[in-house]
Amino acid sequence: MLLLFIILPFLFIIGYWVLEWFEFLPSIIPFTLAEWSAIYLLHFALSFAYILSYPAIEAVSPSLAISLMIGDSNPQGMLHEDLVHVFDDEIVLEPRIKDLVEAGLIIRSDGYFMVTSRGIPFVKCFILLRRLLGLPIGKG
Amino acid sequence: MVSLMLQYLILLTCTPLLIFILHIAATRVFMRYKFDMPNQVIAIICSFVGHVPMAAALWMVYLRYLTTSVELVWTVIYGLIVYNILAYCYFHIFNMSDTARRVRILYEIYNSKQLKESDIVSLYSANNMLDSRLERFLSMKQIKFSDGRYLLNRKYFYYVAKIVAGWGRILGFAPPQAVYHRTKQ
Repeated sequence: MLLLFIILPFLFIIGYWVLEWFEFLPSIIPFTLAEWSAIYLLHFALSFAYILSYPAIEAVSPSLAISLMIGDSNPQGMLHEDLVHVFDDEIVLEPRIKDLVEAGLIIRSDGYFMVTSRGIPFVKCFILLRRLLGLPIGKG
Repeated sequence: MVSLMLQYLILLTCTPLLIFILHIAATRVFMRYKFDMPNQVIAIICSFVGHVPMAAALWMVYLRYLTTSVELVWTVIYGLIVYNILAYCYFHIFNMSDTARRVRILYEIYNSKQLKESDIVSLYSANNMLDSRLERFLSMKQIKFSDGRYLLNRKYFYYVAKIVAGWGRILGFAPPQAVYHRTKQ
């Protein structure tokens, strides 16, 4: 997604602008560097928002599921037990652990999970963010 | 010399940084004066408040030099769109730090150096996950608890969930609640 939405459009704009600057290409789109930057900033912001929102669908957000279940159960509502029955460790945790392994952020060795060298900067960024905000680590 | 328009764009790009600084200040103020407010609401308030200093900075750097009202209107619209999308991105990253299961699991493993799957479950179970979400919905008044039942109180998050579920359906994913029910069966 990063390649498709962020990197390729950036390379396209830079490439086009450089070729036009050195007059290898006729000026088909007469934009200045500032105007191209404005186009790319808007594109970047939209793409980044899309990329950030995508896991909520792909990883099936439990918050969304809870909201939909309670909303759809109106006006009777839902008992706590009904929700506990739907969400258990097998459904809630195991797929996320699998995702982390597949993303190379953790590895399993001798039955133990460890954070990889790729996962350490990732987790440290979140720890730093929370620390700067003066908040404890998120409840998840 | 960086053109005025580029300066305007660079300032707009700093939106997440501005909101982050406001957020750092706001969380400390809210904690000091013991205002009981969900973290997400504080982040949203900071995003709204951030419009003011950003608008002032953009006015000083670029907007006041625009000569026609048409140019001014379109530049302001562009600025509003980019600011609010970047604010949404900041909110999302903050929300991940607060609510994402993957981040919490990663943190627990990092904190303990190594963990067995059963240890992860004891530190962060499905019950914890469910209770923290219900607690968050209750504090945001999205749901209410009455006669032992959870009921929808405000429809905002429910509609957001509907939109996301609809978007997922377009991409070929099953609705979230159906996935959980189906997996159980």
